[in-house]
This record gives sequence, C-alpha cells and structure tokens, in this order.
Amino acid sequence: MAITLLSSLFSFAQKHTISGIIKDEKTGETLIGATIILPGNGGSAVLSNSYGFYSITAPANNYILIVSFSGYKSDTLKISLVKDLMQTILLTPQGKELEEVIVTGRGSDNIMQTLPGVQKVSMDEIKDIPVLFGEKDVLKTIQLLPGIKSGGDGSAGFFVRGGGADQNLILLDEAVVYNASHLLGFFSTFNSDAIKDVTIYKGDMPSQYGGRLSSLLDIKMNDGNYKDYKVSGGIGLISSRLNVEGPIVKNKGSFMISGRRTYADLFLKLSNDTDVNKSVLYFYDLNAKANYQFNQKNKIFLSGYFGKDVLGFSDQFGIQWGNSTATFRWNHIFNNKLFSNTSLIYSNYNYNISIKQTTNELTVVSKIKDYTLKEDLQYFAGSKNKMNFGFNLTKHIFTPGEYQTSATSSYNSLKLQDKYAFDGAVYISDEWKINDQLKINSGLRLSSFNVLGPGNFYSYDDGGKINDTATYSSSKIVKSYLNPEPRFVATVQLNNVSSIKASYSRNVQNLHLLSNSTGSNPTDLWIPSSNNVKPEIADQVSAGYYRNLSNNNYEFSTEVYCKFLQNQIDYKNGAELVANEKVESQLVYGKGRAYGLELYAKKKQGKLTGWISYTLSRTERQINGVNNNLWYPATQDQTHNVALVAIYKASKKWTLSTDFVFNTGNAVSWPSGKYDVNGRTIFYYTQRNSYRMPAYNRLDLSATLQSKKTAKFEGSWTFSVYNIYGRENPYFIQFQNDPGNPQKTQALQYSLFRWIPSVTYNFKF
Amino acid sequence: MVSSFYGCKKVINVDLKNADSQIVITGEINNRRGPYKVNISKSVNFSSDNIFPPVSGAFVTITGNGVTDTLSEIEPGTYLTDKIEGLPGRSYSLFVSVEGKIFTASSVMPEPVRIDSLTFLVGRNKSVYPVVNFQDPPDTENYYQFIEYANGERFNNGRGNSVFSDRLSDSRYISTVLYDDSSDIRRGMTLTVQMNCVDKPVYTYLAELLQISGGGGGFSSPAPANPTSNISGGALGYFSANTVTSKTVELPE
Repeated sequence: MAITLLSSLFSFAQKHTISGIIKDEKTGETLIGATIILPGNGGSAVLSNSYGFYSITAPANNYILIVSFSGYKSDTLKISLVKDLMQTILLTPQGKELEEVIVTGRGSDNIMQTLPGVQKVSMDEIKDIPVLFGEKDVLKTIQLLPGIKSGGDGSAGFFVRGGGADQNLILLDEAVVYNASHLLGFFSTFNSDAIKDVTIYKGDMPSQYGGRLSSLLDIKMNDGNYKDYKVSGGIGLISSRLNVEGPIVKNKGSFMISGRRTYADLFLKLSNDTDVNKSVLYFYDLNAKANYQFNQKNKIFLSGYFGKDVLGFSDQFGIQWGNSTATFRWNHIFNNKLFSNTSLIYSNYNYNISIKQTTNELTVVSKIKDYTLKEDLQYFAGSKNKMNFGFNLTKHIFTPGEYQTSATSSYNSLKLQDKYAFDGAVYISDEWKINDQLKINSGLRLSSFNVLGPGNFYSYDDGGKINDTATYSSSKIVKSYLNPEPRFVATVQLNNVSSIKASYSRNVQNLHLLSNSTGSNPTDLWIPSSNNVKPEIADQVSAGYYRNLSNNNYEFSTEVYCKFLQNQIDYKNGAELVANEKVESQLVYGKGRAYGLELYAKKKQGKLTGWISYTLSRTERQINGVNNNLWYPATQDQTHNVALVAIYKASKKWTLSTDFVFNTGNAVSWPSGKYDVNGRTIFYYTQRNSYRMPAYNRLDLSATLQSKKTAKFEGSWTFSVYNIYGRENPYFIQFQNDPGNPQKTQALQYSLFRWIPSVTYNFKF
Repeated sequence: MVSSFYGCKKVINVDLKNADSQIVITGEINNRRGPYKVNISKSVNFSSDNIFPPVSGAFVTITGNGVTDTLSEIEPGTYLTDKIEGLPGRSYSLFVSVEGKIFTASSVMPEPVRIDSLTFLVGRNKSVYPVVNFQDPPDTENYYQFIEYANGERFNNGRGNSVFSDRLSDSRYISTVLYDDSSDIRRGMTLTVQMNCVDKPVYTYLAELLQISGGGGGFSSPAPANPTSNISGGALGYFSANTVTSKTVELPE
C-alpha cells in the first residue's frame, strides 16, 4: 500500500502500456466493447474499440488484468508491466446453461462506462425475441427500449425522444443507410445473421458522428470466422437466409457472405389471373465482407451491402428501390497508444418506377450518391485520458427525379436539377477520468455543409412564386453553413453499483426527408440544406440515475431529457412535393420541443431474463403557417409507452419468449364538424393534431426448440405468434357517411394485422 | 392495391368536439346560359344529422363585364342571378353580406377547352373508369375539374370530383383516367362526363378538397386541414368562374 502511494506521489514513476486486440477464442472475431480492468490502477476500466483494440497505461508493477464481455467467460491474466506489452486476449464463449459467477467489474459497464442515453442489444436477445413473421429484426427489437417508439404496424420509421423518422443516423459498418426497411416497413434491411454489435445512442452521440438530430444506430457486422468454414441459415414461411463464412488465411484473414430473400410472391404465380401471376413482390439483402491482417499494425477490410425491394403489378406498374454500399477500411496501429481507422465509402440509394397504363408510359429514376472519406484517430493518452480526433468528408450528389415519358403519354419528360453538396466535419473529444468517482467526456464537432453548383438556385416570395434566380457553375459554393456541435457528459460514480450522469449535446442535420404523409414511402424525397432550407439543430440536455442490484444481475436506470429543435420543416396546405423543381417553395418552418422520462429495468442472469421499459413523454411543434402558429403535438407523440420482454430458458431444448407492448395513441387531426359542398358531406377541421388515436396493445409469443445439437450440426425450430389475442389495433381512422343511415356520419377504424403465426427452421454447421 | 393490405375494419365511437357553426358558400358562374347559382348553408356538429341549415336573407351580388347583378333567393339558401353573362377571359367577383359579416371572392374564367372523346378503362371486378381525352393548350397554365353524371344524376358516391393540372403536362394530348368518383359505374349506364376549366385558386381548393374527401387520416395522405378557400372573410366553400363542356356515352351491356 505504501509503495503504491509513494509511486503515485512521484509522478515521474515509469509508466508502460499494454495494448492489443480482444478476440473470440473459437472464431477469432474481434470483440467490441469488452471491458479490461487493471485493478490497483485507480480501478479504471477501458473498453475495446470497434475493432477490438485496447490500450492501458499504468505505472510499472505486477498486475492481474481482468477481461470480461457479456456472453463470455471472464479471463484473468497475470502481467508484469515492466516494459510496453502487446497482448492479444482470447475470450471463450460462455455456454448458455451455465450460470457464471460474476466477477466484480463485469456487468457494471452501464454504471461508469456507457454514455447516458445509450442502449446495447445483444444479438442473442435479438434472436430470442419474437417479431412479425418470425423474422429476427434489429429495428423492431430496439423499439422495445425506452425512448424509442415504433411508427406502428407496417411502418418503417422509428422515433427517438420525439424526433422525426428521418432524424436517425443509421450506420452499417460506417456506411450511412438511407432506407432501413423493406416492404413498406415490415422488415428491416439488416440480416441479423451477419451482425456483431448493435448500439443505439439517443441523442448524445460521440463527436466522431453527426448529421442527424435524434439518434445514432451503429451496427457492426461480423468479420467472418477466422478458423473454420461455417454455414448457417434459416428457412421460414416468408423468407429464407443463408450465411457462409470462413478463413481466407487461417487466423489472418476471413470473409463472410450473408443473404436473405423473401418469396411471398412465388404463391402469386399459382394464380389463374394473368394480372396476378405476372405480379412480383420480393426483396433481397446481400452482405459481403472480407478482411486481412497484414501484420500486427495493419489490417484492411472490404465490405459491401446490396439490397433491393421489388414490387410490380402485372406489367402496368413496377417499383424497385434499394441501397448499395461499398466500403474499404484500413486499421493502422501507429504505436501502442494511437489507433487509426481510415474509411472510404461509396453509397447509392435509388428508386425506379415504371408505369404502363393505356397510352401513359412513364419511368422515373431518383437517387442519392455519396462518396465519403473518414479518418478517425484514437489516442489512449494515459490511464486517465482517452482522446478521439479526426475528420469526415462526404460529397453528395442528389438526382431528385428523371421522368421519361413516351410520345403518347399525358406527361412531359422532365429532369429535375441534380444537387451537389460537400459535407465536412472535424472533431476532437476527450474522455477524462478525473478520479474514481468522476469522469468527464467533452467533445466538439465542427461541421461545414456547402451547397455547390452547377445549377439554378431560386428564392421565393410568401406566395411561393420565384422572385430571384441565381445561376452557379460547377463546384462554386452557393451557400455554406458552419455549425459547432459541442458535446459534454459528466458521470459521477456514487458507489460500486450506482452512478448519476448528466449531459448536453448539440446535433446538426443537413439532409431532410420530405414526407407529407403519416406513413413513409420509399419515394419520399431527401433534400440537402440550401439557400432556402436551413440546417436543423437540436440541443438536448439529459440526466439519469443508474443502479445495479444483486451483484449486477439487475440493472435499473431512469433518465430525463429535454430537447429543443430549430428549423423544423413542415408543408403548406396542398403542398406539391412530386416532380416539382420548386419544391422548396412548398415548405414552412418552425421549431420543436420534446421532453420525457424513461424508466428501464433489466434482469440479466438466470433462466428468466428480460426487461421492462416505460416512457412518459411529449413532443410538440410550432410551425409558421400551421395551426394558427400555435404549438401542437407532433404526430409521433405518444404519452405513455410500455414494453415488456421476457425470455425463459425452460430446458436444454426449449426457450420461450414473449413481448408485450402498450402505447397511448399518436396525435391526429379529426373533424369537429361537417358541411355540404356540391351535395357531398365534407368534414370541418379546427386544430391540428388535437385528437388521439385509440391505444395500442399487443402480446407476441415464441417458442424455440433445439432439435439437434452435435459438434458438427445444430438445428432448431422457432414457432411464433404475433398478436396472440388478435387485437384489432388501430391503423388509421376514416370518417364517412353511415352506409346504413346516410343521415349520419361515422368513424371507421382500419386494422392491419390480427393473429400472424409463423414457423422457421434454423441451422448451423 | 394498397387497400388489400388492410386486415379488417369496424365502426368505433369517437368523442369529437363541437365547433361553432360556420358559413359555407358555394357559387359558380360559367359559359353556359344563366341563371347561375350561389348556395349558402351552415356547418353542423359531427354527431348531428346530415341536414345542413340553409342561410336565408343574404345580400348576394356577382360583378363582371361592367355589370353588378343582385341575386334573388328562390328557395332557402339558394340564390340565382338575373342578367349577368358568363364569358371566358373575364373576371367575376362575388359579394355576400349575411348575419352581419361580409365575404368576397373573385375568379377568372379561363378560355374553354373541349373534350375530344370519352373512352373507357375496364378495371378489376367489372369496374369501369372513364378516360377523358383532350388537347391541353400550350403555354398557359390549365386546370380542370371533372364531374360525372350517371343516368342524368350527379355522382356523389366516390371520393369526389377528379381534378387535373397541366403542371407536368403542358401542351400534351391528355388521356386521363377518372378514378375518384367512378367506383359505381356499371355497364348499361348512360354516362356523362363534364369537364370544367377552372382557375388556379379554384383548382387548389378542389384538389385539397379531394385530399380530405377520402375520409382523412389515410395511410399515405397528409394531415387533414380545411381546403384553402378563395373566399375571404372566413367562410368555407369556394366561388368559381369556369367553362363547361361535356360528352355523353351509352355504356353497352
């Protein structure tokens, strides 16, 4: 004790660094967010980064390193830190039946390590939670967490802390995903077989990320098994998937290919109706990734994602939309304290429509192409400081719409001007462990959004008419927006099992999704900030209390947040957003505010695990020209939102799981009267969104049977029922004259899904 | 096609607020022979019967061509012109003074465009949709409204009167399918399609009216709001100076 006291007084006591990569012992996969503790070194812990890299600096001494990660057996390592060490650490996966004795420090990451407003979902949990059609789904599972709301049955979007559906930054291995769902929202574009880590940040995101106001959903894919060739997959009623992975060079390089396709439309081919049997309805996803470690300091990755939705009715109408991304990354370890990742990313998000109807032939093409360069440096400065700095540069090219028509068509061909923008940011952040009790994360991101020519840029008067046109040539800067985005978090550890956190962050968003409907469509238009459209800005303040109980078996947290939004976009009455060069004249602007309380309790060990989450919240907007300029609740406002998830490992072979959701209704605009125009009953509206949809609740059940498990082959059956009591949950409400009594008007509620059973067979060899 | 996604529907009770009764004015002057009509009525609460009280004793005038015509009330809420003529290219103004309030509107009658021919699209389930064929005049902004009559009766069973704008179709030969009001057309009917050429504010009103006539709150429609009326003073409804042309066909059995 006296020696350690003396050596800490003498600040020139020699310090050394131990660094390396944390991997899964069986597959060689790097582990993200594993905890490495050097007890006695102020007891501070370090988390392995997105590539499994860790680095700890401490005074020269003998230590026992403790390494732990959820789902793995903890490892302890005796080290003699008399010089710099490079140590690869291998963790063994924990068997599911074992109840592991918890080593102190493990399982308490939520107390000191994680930022407030962050949730991680393990892939095991995603696998066990029943969702629609029996498909494991990352997006649907995160909607069971506090502060994250679903858009409802059949809806693609999700809403975080009152933000809009376009305010979520979704990254798949560093590449931005514009449209994260298939088939109008029933499935997400993420094939869970290929995923290693899912983390959602509800507003307080690290400084290296930005561009969306409300959240960051960071999804990292598996690298691929470095040791053996493995095949896994599943066959279901609606879709099937296959995953193939293996070494390129054993322990040095690996690959992974994962694919999924639906085949609901194969049943359409059986129809006698020629319109139906020529119709198509399917989607596919393909993820491919390869990596190679050249030497201890250099590793490269090449990955790609290709996904598409195809919908077609007879030969009259067809629409296809999809994302494709290609990413090249290079990890370079400069020295035992400085880790660098360089990424080059190309992404193409597009849709194509073709219509053939009587004499009307029309094809439409619309796309967004992004070229990105990112450089991120992580400097593990010492035992108390970890710094991050770097830059992102993206060139965006928007093709809002190219409409080609035939000579006999009723429509003219039209090409909307392409739009160009250069989006850059530089950032620096520091995580400072002042002492055992206090940690401060501070960061600053400076983002610069530049609208470029070539093109004509219009200004509008209040009536929406053009009052000025400015023409710019290629690469000339039309408008520049520079915004600092400070981020700040203070974490105070009250004792070993509890802490409080407080934070402030500012986020800026320069890409805006124009969607003038309560649902979202793949044809909704993304537009960049411009001489008319200003960047959206969000300032969020949050505070929380975190407590673990019973040796970290139970995790409990409560958070409150308050968010102010500027430059929010809404639409004029009767706005024409389709094929409109002057679309910016249809927009109106204002502000928003959101606040709420989130409660979360989780049981992590034992035969029965699961969580319960409750959110009490409000989100409102005040837009010039809407609702007489008064504040009104945003459509996605749901006062109460409850989710309960339970997973029960009944025996070696059977796992049962259930989830229950309840929420009070979204805000809607309903009539407050009616009148006659030309012999038709028309409804009269007063305030915007002053009514609520009826409440929603639903219970889902699933049971998984492990039918065969040998060293070489594993097979299991999953049976599930979505909406087990078949409740007719409201999808939308329509008002009409009562067909039975035309003197009266009535409200008609439409529902989408009642009982939906499904069966899937999963295999692994 | 999207409608086939909806699992089920049922009538529910909703507690809707009441609002003050609003004045509703609808009026039209066209290029056919007069007289022309203006209707004034009131709105009622959602739970009331669909009986919309007419408003009597209003002072109504229409001015145009240097003439101001005072309308006479022929039955409660219905006012007819006496001498004014509707001519293309002219601007007409409406003036209404009723219950201590004043409402005004103005509309410009466009040049006439004629229907070339009426053809048909046969859809699924034996439904028949009329297709209106006509030449859109080049270099002018043209706005159209379509009204369907079956066996002489004006159709009121669908969503509403279809509208069309030549924003994306200037100078094209148009073949437009009328879906909105056509769900009840069957073979054997005598079908008349009337095409009105309207001005931009009237088109805007009718297009927004159509958006809320689906019943509102639909999956892919914007938040419902009262259509932007061209009447100032706070009345619901609209005033239109439009041209009229029509074609009639007998649908074979």
